[in-house]
Amino acid sequence: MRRRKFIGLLGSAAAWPFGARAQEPGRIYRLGFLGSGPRNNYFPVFEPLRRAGFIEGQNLIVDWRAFAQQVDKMPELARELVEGKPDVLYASGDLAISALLQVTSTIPIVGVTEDMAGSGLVRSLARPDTNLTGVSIFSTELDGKRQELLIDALPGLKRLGVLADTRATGAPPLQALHEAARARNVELLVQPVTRSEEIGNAIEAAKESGATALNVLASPVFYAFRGVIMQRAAELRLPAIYQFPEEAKEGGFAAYGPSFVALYVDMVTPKLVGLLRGAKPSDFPVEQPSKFKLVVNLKTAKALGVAIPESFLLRADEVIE
Amino acid sequence: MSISVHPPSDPGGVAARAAARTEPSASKPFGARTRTRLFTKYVALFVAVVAIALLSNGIFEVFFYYREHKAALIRIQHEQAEAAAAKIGQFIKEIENQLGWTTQLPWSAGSIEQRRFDALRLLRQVPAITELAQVDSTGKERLRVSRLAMDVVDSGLDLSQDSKFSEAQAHKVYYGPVYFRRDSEPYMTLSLAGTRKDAGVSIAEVNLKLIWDVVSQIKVGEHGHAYVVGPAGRLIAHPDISLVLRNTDMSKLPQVQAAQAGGSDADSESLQGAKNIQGQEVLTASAPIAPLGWTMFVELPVEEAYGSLYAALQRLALVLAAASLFAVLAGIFLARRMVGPIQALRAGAERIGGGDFGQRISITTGDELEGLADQFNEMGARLQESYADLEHKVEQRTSELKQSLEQQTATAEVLKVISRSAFDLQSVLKTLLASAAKLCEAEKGIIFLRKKNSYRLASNYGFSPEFEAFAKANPFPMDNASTTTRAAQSGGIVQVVDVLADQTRSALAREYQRLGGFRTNLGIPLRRGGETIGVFTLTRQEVRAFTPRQIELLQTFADQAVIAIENARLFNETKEALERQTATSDILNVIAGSPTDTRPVFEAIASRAKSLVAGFSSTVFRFIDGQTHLEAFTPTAPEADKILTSTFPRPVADFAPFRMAQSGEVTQVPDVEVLTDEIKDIGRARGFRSMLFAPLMNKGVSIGFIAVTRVEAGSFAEHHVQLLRTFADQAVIAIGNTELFNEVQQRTRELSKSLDDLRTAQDRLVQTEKLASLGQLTAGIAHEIKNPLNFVNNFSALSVELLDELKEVLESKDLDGKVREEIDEIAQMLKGNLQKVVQHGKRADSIVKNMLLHSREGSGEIRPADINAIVEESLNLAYHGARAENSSFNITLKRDFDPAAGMIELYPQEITRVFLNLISNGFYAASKRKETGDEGFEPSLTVITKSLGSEVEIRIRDNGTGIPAEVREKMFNPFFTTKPAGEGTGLGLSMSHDIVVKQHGGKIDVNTELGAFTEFIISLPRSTARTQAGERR
Repeated sequence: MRRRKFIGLLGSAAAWPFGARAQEPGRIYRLGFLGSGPRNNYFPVFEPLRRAGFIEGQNLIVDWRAFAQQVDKMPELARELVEGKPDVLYASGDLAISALLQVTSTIPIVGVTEDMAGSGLVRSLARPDTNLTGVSIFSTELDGKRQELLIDALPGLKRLGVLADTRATGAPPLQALHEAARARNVELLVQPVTRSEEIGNAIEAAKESGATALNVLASPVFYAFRGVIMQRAAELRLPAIYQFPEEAKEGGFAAYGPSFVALYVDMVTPKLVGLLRGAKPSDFPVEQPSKFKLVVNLKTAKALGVAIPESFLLRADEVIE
Repeated sequence: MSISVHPPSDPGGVAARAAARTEPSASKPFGARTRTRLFTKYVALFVAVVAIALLSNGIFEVFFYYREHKAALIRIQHEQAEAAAAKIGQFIKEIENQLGWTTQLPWSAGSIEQRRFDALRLLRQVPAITELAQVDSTGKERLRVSRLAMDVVDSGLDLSQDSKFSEAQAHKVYYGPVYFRRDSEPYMTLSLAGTRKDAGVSIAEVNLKLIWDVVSQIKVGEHGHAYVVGPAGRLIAHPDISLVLRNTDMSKLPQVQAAQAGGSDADSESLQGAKNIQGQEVLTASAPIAPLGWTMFVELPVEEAYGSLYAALQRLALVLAAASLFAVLAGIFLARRMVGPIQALRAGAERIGGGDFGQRISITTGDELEGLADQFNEMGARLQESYADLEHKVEQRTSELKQSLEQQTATAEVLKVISRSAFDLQSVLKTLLASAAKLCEAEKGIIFLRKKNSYRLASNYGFSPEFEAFAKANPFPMDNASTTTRAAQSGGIVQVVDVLADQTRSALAREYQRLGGFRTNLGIPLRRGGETIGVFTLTRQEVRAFTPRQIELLQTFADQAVIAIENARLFNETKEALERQTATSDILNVIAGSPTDTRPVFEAIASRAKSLVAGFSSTVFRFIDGQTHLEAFTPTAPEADKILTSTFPRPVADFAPFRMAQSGEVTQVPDVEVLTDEIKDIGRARGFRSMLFAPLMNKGVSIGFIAVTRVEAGSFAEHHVQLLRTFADQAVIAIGNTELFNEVQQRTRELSKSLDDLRTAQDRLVQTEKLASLGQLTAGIAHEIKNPLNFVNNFSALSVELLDELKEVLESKDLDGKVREEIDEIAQMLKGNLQKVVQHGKRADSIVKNMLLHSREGSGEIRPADINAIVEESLNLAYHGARAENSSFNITLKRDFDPAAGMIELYPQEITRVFLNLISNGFYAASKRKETGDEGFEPSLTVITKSLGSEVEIRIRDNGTGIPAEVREKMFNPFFTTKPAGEGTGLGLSMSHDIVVKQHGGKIDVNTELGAFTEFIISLPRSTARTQAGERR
């Protein structure tokens, strides 16, 4: 009797959904990656994959496409990736995810984007019913939060430049930003950017029109070009606020949002691993980050000659000195 | 102790030998079976005793161990669940405490900005709070800060009726129900009222996802985990965050149901393994999380929980197995000591039972078993004594039985021989005699068989060859003067004890006795159906009567002899009949196979005749005009055959047997060596000595004969002679049949040939007649009409000119306008009429011309021409002609010319006429179908040429109205037309037929389907046109 139960238990353990499942020996796994910038941006993906036993060059082939410099070619990139018959796809941003969904309805996709349910990419966060799952990062909501933080950090701010990726931010959120700014007596100078080449000019244009600070709205393209943005902002002496806390550590003036590394290590990679091992996208509910960090880089502030009120610094989770 | 089984001390005894023989086969299987039974019984009993003790002890131990283990498990699990519940409670309490200091100040006291700052700090310190709202004592929302949304000051939202506010006001603290934001993340509202009445209420939205940090820290065994379930059974926290985000309903799980129903003191039964949400079997314990109404569950996989128990069970099983093994070994040892002496006793008893009475058992165990062995030994000795006495009697009886057995055996042997060689009478009789003589202690024996009126020796046993020769030459007459004949005549058994003392015997009998030297003899008649067919005689060289038993036996032998003789006779008769039948059927087969030729028949007769008589060779001859012709023979050596073939034909008169055969007599030459003619030479050359001749008699006339030869000299057996004669008669019938058949066939062939010839001639005649009469008619009519027609044409043309002249004349005259007008009008009408006359006259002329052309064959000259070019030209001509006649005419033309069609010798002009005619007909049919109002109809005409080697095929196909069957029959007849009167001459197809068939030696065929298409197929030979035409001229 006991023995039978014991055997039954072994059987049920074997049927455990994922977790315990390992890679099939000798099989080569293919991951199609549609990221915005250069691939070392995504180191928090590849390290955990390696730890889970998916080692590039041994049993993993990563088909890499970066779209930040060629957003117009998104459909082609998506098609190329799918033609490579990957086991799993990754995509950053609504645009990339939509492009992939256009060309495949069977290959599982892990997407990281602003709001999966709000944009209609999945019907329910709890139970995605297509080949898509991933992480919603509240970026539009947080754009407002960042604007508020930047205004709090710079008392007396009159004109705030906004760097907006037209493909990532629509008109209604911009309208909401305008209204919130008006309540704080700040004038918003929105600089729309359609192509990556326009970023430098847009920042200059903001500066020229009188902006004294810059809110870099959430966009995978801006994250890919954050180096350029930070350099231009520094040259033009514009304190700017960014999407991911890591960006402030890299030299940005301030940043507020979920940790980029934590996002990929804790939420994205486990899904990639599970899907590579054969789980279904519907096994993974869409996750949302619940920890947000405010990081202020005092070194940058000092270089820009900006004084930050003590009360603001107290709110920061991390201050870089 | 010593145990042994002694071999018998007296190995010479019969009993001992018998025992030794039977011992190996009898004792082994029996011994093996017994050993296993007793031995296993002992071993099994021993093992059972030991194992039951061990097992019961083990089971008790396991049972108590299991209960203790389980109790411990339950206790530990409960403790863990309670500890975990406490941790969660603490987590919530912590938040509550943190929230506490935001409600310290009354609303009038601090500025909003200060409160906002405090709220933001709270968010920093308590990551689980996503949103914090502060409400003043009237229920108005004054401030709302969030991690995600922008902060709101003085939204003015009225929350005074909201339970978040009212409950907190009433009970200081309020734990809202768990809800799922965006249907995904679990949240709970936690409101806290300040201690002072005017401090207002702080409402925090707590992200319960952060309980994960607590829950995933709780370690339950190796693989177990803890999770939290809300009051409605919803999962709030679980180490697998996906389950929480998916808003999993746990209320279906039995352990959750039990916990929620029974409260905290879930009894031990709920700990029994149940499936968890992932389908794994787990042990679950629960504890309530007090203020929240949640339940903490702690689960441990059954596998792990009972791991140590299973290990203990395994150990116990090992100990049991080892103990059992030991018990088995001990059992074997003890059983062996017990069974050994019993084994020896059993083996000894078995040998005694098997007849080995010299057997002694030696057991020195000193106990009851030894006494038992001694008693066995004594019993053996007694048995040995009585056995020897018994054996003597048995031996006596055996020899008696043996004797009678031998007799039986001999009889059976004889019967076997009879049945085995029924057809070989000699060997049967020999066996019978030999067996009878041996069994009845007679030295010699004879079987006489009756032949006509004497008894002749058929077989003998033990007599000398001289006696045999004498007896064969001198059969006994039917008298009463010998033992044999007496037996035969009386039909009963006759025994003469001393032959020499019998004075009534004949001289012949005395001579038999002198040569045979016997003294006592016995005759048994062989009788069948009340008739004596022979005598079975046995003799003894000394005077000793046959015993009644011997006589009785002999009677049996005599009966067997009768049966054997009868069998042999029947067998031979059947065999002969069968042979005759077979021979006849063979001949018939040959006839059936080659009815047109007599040679195989003769050959078959020759070969069958040879085998029927078992001869050496055979020949078949026929008499033709006083000559003997060799028809067939069975081959021997090639040279010998050559001699035979070179000798014949010869006049019949040359050889005496031939003459005899011609006169219808069967003759034989017993030895060719005595002959003086050529037959002797042939015989020597071919190697035969004797010959048999049978005439082939047909209606009383001899038409030939069959000769069969043998290697040995001497007369042929009577039945062979008869057989050959019968066979010869049948062969004649066969020959007759063959000839008759051939004649009939020949006649039939001749008849059918002449019939065919007749038919062809008739057809030819009819066709010629028809065409000739038509041609004559046409030519005649044409000539007769031609002249008047010329008049009509010429004069009407002239009249037109005259009318013009008249007009000129009247021109110069001064006429009044009205008259002139009238004259002009009349002149115009006349002119019109005349033109019509001219027009129709010309048509009539063309008909006449055509008719003349028809009657005159072979116009123009014959020359090679490109057939494709001619077809193309005809097509163009016809098309333009049709267009000229009717400008609205239109048709699709399709051409498919075979380049290999090439040059053909023909009359180009004539052939062009044919094509023109056929193409025009096609146009007519297609346009007619169009006229009948078929809207979508597209008239088309297809012309195909195709090279067929020595011929060229031209197909002209239109998709017109098609030709009805009744028209098809007549359409090649002159003057037959389906066109309305005045449109066709009815000569087109008739002419085309003549040109193609008669002039060019080709063929014209038509293939049509009514309302679909018509296709004319013209085949023209490439070069035969000249000769055909030449012949015709």
